[in-house]
Amino acid sequence: MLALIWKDIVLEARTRETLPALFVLGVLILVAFHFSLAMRPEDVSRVASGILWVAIVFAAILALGRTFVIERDSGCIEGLLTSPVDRGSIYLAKLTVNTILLLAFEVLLVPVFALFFDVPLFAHPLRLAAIMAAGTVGIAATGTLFALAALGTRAREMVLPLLVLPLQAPLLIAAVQATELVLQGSTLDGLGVRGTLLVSFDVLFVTAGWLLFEFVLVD
Amino acid sequence: MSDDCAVSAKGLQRRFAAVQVLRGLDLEVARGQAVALFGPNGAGKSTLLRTLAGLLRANDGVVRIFGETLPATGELRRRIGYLGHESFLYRDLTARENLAYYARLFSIDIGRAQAALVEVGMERFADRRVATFSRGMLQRVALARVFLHDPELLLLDEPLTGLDPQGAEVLASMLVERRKRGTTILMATHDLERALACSTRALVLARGRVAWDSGTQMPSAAAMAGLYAGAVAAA
Repeated sequence: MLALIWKDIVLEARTRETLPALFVLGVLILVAFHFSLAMRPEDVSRVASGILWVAIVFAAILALGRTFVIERDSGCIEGLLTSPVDRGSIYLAKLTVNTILLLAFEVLLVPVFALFFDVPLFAHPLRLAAIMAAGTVGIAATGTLFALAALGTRAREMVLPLLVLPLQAPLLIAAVQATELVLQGSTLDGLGVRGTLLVSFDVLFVTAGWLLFEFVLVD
Repeated sequence: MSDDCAVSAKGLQRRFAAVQVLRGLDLEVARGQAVALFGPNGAGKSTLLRTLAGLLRANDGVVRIFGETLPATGELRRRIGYLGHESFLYRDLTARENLAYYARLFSIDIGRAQAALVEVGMERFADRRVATFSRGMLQRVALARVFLHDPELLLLDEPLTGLDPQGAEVLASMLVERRKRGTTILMATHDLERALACSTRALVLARGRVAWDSGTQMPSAAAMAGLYAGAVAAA
């Protein structure tokens, strides 16, 4: 599993194909919202968390769609499948790489977001980081599983969002509301059902991906 | 199936949409045999090798490798080396990095990557990115990847593709050396002469079945051409 993670990180560091594209897309989304929504200061904290998560979800679609593209080139996925590596470990490795990539993107995006929308993002940085990490793991867990299923279809760029966005809707709602509460000063305990939903979604989809990945892989 | 059987396929069927590629194929290969697999395009050679490697599921029939029924466990995959039509190498990693990666996947000493590159004559290019390699160089590194974990069963699909005469000689000597050590080899190719020189048995596949089997009586290359044409025509 570590070999897979190492290889994907080295390839991204060398080609720099994904992270810059994510950042540009994320900033473009923020710019579009910044200039299209004339918000009163009291509305900002209510709307801002939604804008942040829209940018993350759309950028994630772009990143997750590329998860297995490097494995498809030169048939590398078959090299992986003929190795003794457990299929579940392949999923966990890809999930780890996607999560690292999305978190790196968020580290770059959040300061730009704070600049555009003037929200107190750094008033409770650890709480915000916890919410973003939980939301990101859920997005990566669903996306990693379905990216492989979409790879086998002709219109994979179209199929992936159709498969994952409806599934991610409950996670997205919980993440938006939890982020809004944290921006308003709530503790993690004060998130109630939203926090429980975020963690449950992560556990459910990481486990499902780990168990089901083998069935998506062959043929 | 006897204990010395490396590969056993019974009633193997595989369809791609409406196209039936394997039609009830039966095959047994004893441990240590080196089998040259001939046949026209579309005969089912690649499909057979991909099925044996566990990359395709048969629609019907049973495949056993070293007595274990497919799908293969991780331990069984460790005993198999498969060379496909593509190199399975990452273009933006060097040859050494690619082999070190596969060595880690197979949990073997990454130092074997260097030895494998020396064996295929690619040590001078070990630290060059694979994206800069010619087709023949790619094929040599792809072969190094297949031999890296010293598999007991080699499934080679067109291994001579892209190799220059020197590369083909290197491959032939590697196959003969593995065969002497007891490795079982199945090699699909169109190069009758070279394949027969390093094999102990020849098969002709046609229309998804074994159309001709040499048994232990290996023909000469010249005789094989006639036998091949006859088997394909009769299938």
